[in-house]
Parts: sequence; C-alpha cells; structure tokens
Amino acid sequence: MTKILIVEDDKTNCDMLERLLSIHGYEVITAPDGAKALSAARDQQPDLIIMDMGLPILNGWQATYRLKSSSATCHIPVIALTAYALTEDRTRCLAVGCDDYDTKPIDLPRLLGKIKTHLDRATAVGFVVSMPTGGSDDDS
Amino acid sequence: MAHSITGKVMIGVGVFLAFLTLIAAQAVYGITITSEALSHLTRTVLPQVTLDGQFELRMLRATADISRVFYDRSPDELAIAQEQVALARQAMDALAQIEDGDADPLFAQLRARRLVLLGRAEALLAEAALLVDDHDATIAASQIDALEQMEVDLDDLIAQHSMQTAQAMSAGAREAEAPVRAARNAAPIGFGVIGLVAILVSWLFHIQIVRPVRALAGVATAIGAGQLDQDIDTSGVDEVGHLQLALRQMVMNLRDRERALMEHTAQIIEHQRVELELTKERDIAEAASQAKSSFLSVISHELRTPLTAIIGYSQLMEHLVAADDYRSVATDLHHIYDAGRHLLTLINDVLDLSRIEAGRLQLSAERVDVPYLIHSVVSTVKPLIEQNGSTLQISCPTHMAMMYTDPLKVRQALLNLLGNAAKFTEAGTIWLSVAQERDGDADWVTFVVADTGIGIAADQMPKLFKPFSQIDDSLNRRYSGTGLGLALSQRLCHLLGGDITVESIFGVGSTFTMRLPAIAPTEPAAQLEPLVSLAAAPAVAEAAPEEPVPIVSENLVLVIDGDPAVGSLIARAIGPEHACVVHAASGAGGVELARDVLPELILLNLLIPDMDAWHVLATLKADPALAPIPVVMISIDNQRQRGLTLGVADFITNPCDQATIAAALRWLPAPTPTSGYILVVEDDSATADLYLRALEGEGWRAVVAESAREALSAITVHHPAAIVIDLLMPDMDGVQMISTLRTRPGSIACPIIIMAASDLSGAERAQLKRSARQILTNGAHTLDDLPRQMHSYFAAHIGASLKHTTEIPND
Repeated sequence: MTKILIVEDDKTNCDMLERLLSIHGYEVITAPDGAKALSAARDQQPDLIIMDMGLPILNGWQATYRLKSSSATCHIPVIALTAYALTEDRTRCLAVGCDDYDTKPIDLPRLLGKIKTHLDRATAVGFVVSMPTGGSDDDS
Repeated sequence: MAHSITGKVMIGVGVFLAFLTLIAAQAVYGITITSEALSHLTRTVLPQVTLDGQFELRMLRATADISRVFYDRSPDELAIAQEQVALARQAMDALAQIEDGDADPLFAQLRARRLVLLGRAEALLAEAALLVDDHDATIAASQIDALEQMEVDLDDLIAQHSMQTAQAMSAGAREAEAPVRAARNAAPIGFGVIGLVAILVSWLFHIQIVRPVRALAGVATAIGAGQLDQDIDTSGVDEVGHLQLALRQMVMNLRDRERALMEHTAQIIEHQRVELELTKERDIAEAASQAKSSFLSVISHELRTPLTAIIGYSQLMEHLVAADDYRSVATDLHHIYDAGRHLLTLINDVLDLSRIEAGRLQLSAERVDVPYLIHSVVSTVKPLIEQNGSTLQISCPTHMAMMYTDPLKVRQALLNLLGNAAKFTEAGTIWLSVAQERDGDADWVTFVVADTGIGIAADQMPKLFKPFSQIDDSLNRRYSGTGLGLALSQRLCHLLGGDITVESIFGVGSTFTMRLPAIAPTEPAAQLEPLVSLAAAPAVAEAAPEEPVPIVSENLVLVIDGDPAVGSLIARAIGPEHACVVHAASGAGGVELARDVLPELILLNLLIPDMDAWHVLATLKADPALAPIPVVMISIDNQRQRGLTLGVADFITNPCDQATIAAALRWLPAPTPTSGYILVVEDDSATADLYLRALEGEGWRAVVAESAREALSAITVHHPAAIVIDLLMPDMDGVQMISTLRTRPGSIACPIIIMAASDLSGAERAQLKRSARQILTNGAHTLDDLPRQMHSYFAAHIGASLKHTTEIPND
C-alpha cells in the first residue's frame, strides 16, 4: 500500500487530510513538526510527503532541505502544501527541493492528481538523483 | 613703483616743482643781487653822501666863518670857525673809514681834493687865529685870495661830487634793478613752461588714469545695473591695472555669487517642488492608508460573512447530530460548502486584483477563435441563467477574424458580465451579441451583454466598477457575489487594451459593453487606473511572506538548555547564514530532537533541569546515529578533563558571547560542495522548460523562476549553486537584476550564467562581465552547451574552492 507522510501542525486539517487520503486508498502517517518529519521519513520511508511550510521546531523549508540533503530520504517526492499562495512562494518551495507545490484550501482532485503524478514518476525513474556532485550525505 | 600712478604723479609733480624751484631760485638770486646792491647803497653810498654833505656843509660854513674872522677878528667867530673845521675833519675821518678799501679812483680823487681843501681851510684858520690874537696884524691880500680860491674849489668839489653821487646812485639802482628785470623777463617763460608741463601732466593723467577710470566707472555702473557679463580690459599695469583686476575679481566674485544664488534659488525651487511632491505623495499615501484601512475593514467583513455561515451551520449540525437529527444535514453541509467556495472566490479575486494592481498579471496572448470562446462561455453560464428562469439570446457572426488576445482573461471578464446578468435577472431575457468593427486602422471586437434585470440607479453608476461596491447591503443579502467581479473585469479589459461601459435604466435593465482591440497590446496599458483601495495590497503580499521564511542553511545546531532564551540568543549569535538552530529545553527532549533531526552540532548546557547532562552526553554517545555528532558543553566552570574523556568535543564557559559561540562553530562540518540547485530565471515557460529538461537530464536539480521577483525570493530561502539568467525579464532589467542579486547574501558569490537573447553591446558585455561568469547567446546550440558549461564550471571551481566563500573569477 502506498504510504504518504502528512506533515501538518494544525490537528484539524491534518485529520481532515488524513481521512480524505485514506478514503482514496493511501496509508497515511503524520508528523506534527519538521523535526518529527525528518525521523518519520527516515524511519518509515513513505512513498511521498505532503509538507506544510509553517511548522514548529523546523519549518517546512528547513525540513525539506534536510530531507533532500540526506541520501536516506532525498528520493522521496515532497509536495509543499501551503496557504502561502503567491508565485514566489511556489519558487521558494521549489528552491529548497520540493518537487511540487499546492495551495490551501485543498482542491482535492488537483492534489490527488499531483500525488499520482509524483508517485508514478518516482516509480518510473527509481531514485531521483538531486545532487549531481553528491557529497552531502549527512545521515552518517 | 616706477610704473605706478603715484610714480607718474610724483614725476609730474617733481618736474613741476623743479621748474618752480628754478624760477624761485632765479627770483631769489635777483632779489639777493638787488638787495646786495641796495645794501651797498645804504651801507656805502648813502653814508658817504651824507658825510660828503656834512663835510661840504662844514667846509662852506668854515669858509664863511674864516672870512668873518678875517674881517671882524672876533674870537667867538674864530671858535665857531674852528668848530666847523673840526666837524669837517670828523666827517672827513668818517668818510675815510667808509671809503677805506674803495678802489674807485674817482672817489679817491675826490678824497684827495677834500683833504687838500681841508688842509687849506685849517691853514687859513690858523692865519685867522693869528689875526685875532694879534690885533695889529693886517690881512694879507694873499689870504683873501686863498680864501676866495678855496670857496671856488669847494663849489667845484661840491658840483663834481654831486654829479658823481648821482652817477653812483644811478649805477647802484641799475645794478639792483637788473636781476629783478631778469626775473620779470623770465617769469612768462617759466609760467609758459609750467603751463606746458601742467598740460602734459594732465594729458598723461587723462591717458593713464582718467580714461581707464572712466571706463571702469562705466563698467561699475553696468555691474550695478546687474549686467555682470562685462568685459573688463586689464591692460593697465599700475593702480588702474590693479583697480581693473580688482574690479574683474569683484565681477567674477559677483558672477560666482550670482551663480551660487541661482543654484540656491534652483535648490529652493527644487525643495519646494520635492516638498510639494512629498506632500502629494503623503496625501496619496494617507489616502492609500485610509483606503487600506477601509479595504481591510471591508475585506474583513466580506470574509466574515461566509465564515459566519460555515461556523454557524457547523454548530447547528453538531447539535442536530447529537440529537440524532440527520434530516437537514446534507442541505446544511451544502451551505457550508457554498460559503467555503465563496470565501475562496473572494480570496482569489482579491489576489487577482492585487496582481493587476502590482502589474504582475501578465498577458499571455494567443490566436483566439471568438465563436468558440463564446460557445465555451455560454455553456458555463447557461445553467445559471436558466436557474433564474431567464433565457439567453446570442448573436455572434459565425465567421469572423481571429482575435489575438489572452483568452482566459476575455473569458473571465465575459463570464463575470454574464454571471451578473444572470444573477440580477429573474424570468427575463439576456442578450449576448458580438460584433467586429474598424476604428481608424485598428480592429475592435465588442461584446454586448444586455438584460431585463433590476437595473442600476443613476447614483450608483459611478461606484459600479469600484471593488466591494455591490449596490447595497440589502441587495447583498439577496445576491451573492464578492463585489469584486466588475472591478476585476474592468481591470482585465484595461489590461487587454479595452474598456467596459454600462448603460442602465433602473428597474428596466442594464447593458454592459465590453470593447476590446482585436490585437491585444504587447505592453500592458501603461497607466492603469489606480485602484486606491488596493494600493497597499501588493505591499502586504510582498512583505508578509518574507517574514515567516527564514534562510535555510546547510547546517543545523541543536541547543539543549533549560532556558529557551539561551536558545534564541545562540541562534542570533550564530546567524541564519551559518546554521539553523533548534532548541530543546530538557535533556530527554534534546536526545529525542537529536534523533529526529540529526544535527551537525550539539550545544549541551551542563545544567539542565530534568537530568544530569553527563547522562545526556552518554545517551548521545551511545546512539550510533548520534555518536559522530560533535557535542560542545556549556558550563559555568571548566570541566574540560572529564568532558574530554567522555567524548566532548569542546567546552565553552557560560555566559557565552559571540566569540565563544563562533569558536564552537568550528566544529561544524566544512561547507559541502554544491548541494543546492540551479536557479533558472526565465519568463518564457517554453524556454524555461527546455533549460530545465537539459539540466535535469544531466542530473542537475533546477528550479525555474519566472520573474526577477521570484528569483530573489528563491535565493532568499536557499542559496542556489548557480544561476542561469535570461537578460530580458518582464519585471526587471537583467543587468539590474544581476546587480541586485550580487547584493543578496544568497548569490554574492554564486556563478551567474547569462543567456543573452541578442548580441550585446560592448558596454553591456563589459558591465556584465564584471558580475557574470559566462555569457551565452540564446540559441539552439546553447541548450546543449548549458549543462556542459555547468559541468566544466563546477569541475573547475566547486571541487577546488568552496561556494559562499570565494568570489568566482570572471573568465
């Protein structure tokens, strides 16, 4: 079963999204902050991460950057899901390594489409190599 | 001084004085001579004449007395005669003294004759005495003769003497008069010479002084009249020259002052202008601020309305479900969904408006088939019209020329107009007619939307296109809508180079006419009607996201300290460019967080509330995932020895300052070679996609920023490994953008590769060379070139030097 990690600090929204995705056949795990997102991604190896950006401890940008900097997690597609809805917010998310970006409130069909796209691509490519010169494996 | 006026005047005066002196000397000389002559006359001639007279008088009297003695033989007469002779003798002696040394032979001769006469007179007196003494003696005839002869001689002497005296007097007078005459004769010549000299001097004065001074006076008058462009002759060498120089200096000073004054005046005018502008700007800003406040209050109200429905219905449902009443749940849920959708539309409309306001909504023009567009719009809006029991009548030519415009924006505006018509018309008719017309040399397409709806009152017309001005609140209740639709449509039309106009009769219906150019302008209309109420919105949109996005650094530092303030203090001391800081307030939390985030460095305070720090250290070192992470202990006292045996990397003493913390940071791993992304700044999505695929195909991670603004926000959050820039960006000139990028911490040292669309001028190239590593000219071959350039660059630089630390040298 495809496993999706939802990183969201707002319990209600997290619960809502968890149930919506569950209904659509995904196994869902959650993390309430950026730090827990790192360990959850590392330990439970989800197939995809939906990342809120305004998070405690480590924010979404920092967490995504570290996810993408570690060889243990860099292959997992990250979709930023944020209420910051301007174009530069999209670029900001992409800059730290998010694979895609969607805005709140959730447009469920659109989000599901993006999830599917990235799951398909990850399966097709295998591990996405994001660091051409390597050298930043810091999960030792 | 030889050439000075003073000198000339002195010379002139000197010459004049010399002449005067000469003349005076002559006069004095003459006077001296004259006075000498007169003195001679008084000293010599006059006493001589006087004495001569006395002598001659005495002698005449003596002769007469002797003659009487001869005849009377009276001794009294004899005594008188003797006295007269004695007096004559005295006069003779005195005369001898005066004439002593006088070599005048004439006088000597006269003197000799006087002496003879005196001797004869004395001899006769002696004979006369004998006669008196001897009464018997007779007078000899010889004596009478001698006496008579003496009288004759005496007369002759007197006559001769008189003549000679007159001659001497005349000669003396002549002698005294001569220099006076000479002086008198010389005087006219002297005066003439003086006159000439005076004329000469005055002429010289005129040439040398008066004329230039008069010229200077003229100049000075002109200057006084404000004509400062006077040409001052400075050929003079003396005081006039000095005066000319001084005047010229004065004129130059005056000119400088006048210039300064004019500049000052200009400055004042400029200040006034700036002040005026500032005042204007302040007024605008105040108006904007006020509009912003009213906008916020309006938007707050607009947001609260649907939220009220959401919250209210949710509460209602909660009660209903608790009471096991599920009858209205589906309807109530639909209300919540509607309110939510409305809220989203509202927010999107506001964002659209603010984008248009900020000039950030770009036109994406393409060939548009109008009948097809109409068909698509109608199919969307038809259900809404039929919902209100109205009918739609369409009039659109089946064959019409293609438009070249942004179909999405035309569609949005048209949908809005039709949506309004549908909303405000119940059981009526709505017409949509499309027509093409030619105005001058431009083709236009008009879309007319007419309805038989409620219409618009005349007094409501002016604020029809203003945001949040749906006619009134009572209507607002009946007709849903954000009140932004018409404002948005109007601005979209402006963006497309067209306009929306409205005609309406209250209670009868409205006609909206949207007129668009068949070919949309490439540049958006320069002056969009300012939408004051939203003027502040872009600023809000711009500033707000900056705040919650910290710079993402490569390293993460975990601070385990009971005091949260220490965490933020250390975070500040480290600075976001060096590391992100996470904080744990307890030992257990610290260990857990360390396991979660796997930081690059742990700062552990020896005094933590829940457990022994040494125990925390032991736990950290026991976990194989955490053991390699350097731990720096913070303590009041130095327990280095114990710490080192237990695997502490370093000790810093509390309270720790910036320098101590900086020292601890050396335990952070060296910056890794490029771990970032390649930022592609390219507004054309097709080109950007090509770059993206070329780079990703070679294993690079690339991020596209479609504007300079996006690029800047991307580098703010995370530093790119390299930037590929298209020089022609819509919102910022590429050259300007590169210089802006070079001021940002994220891209100071980042290599920039410029994709130039056209041949660059030498100056542009030179300017870019300073800040960009490589300039590639846009074209097919460069696409293959780009990844190769990247590889060669990183092979050459990143391996050797580390990013963020060295300026990339330009090729």
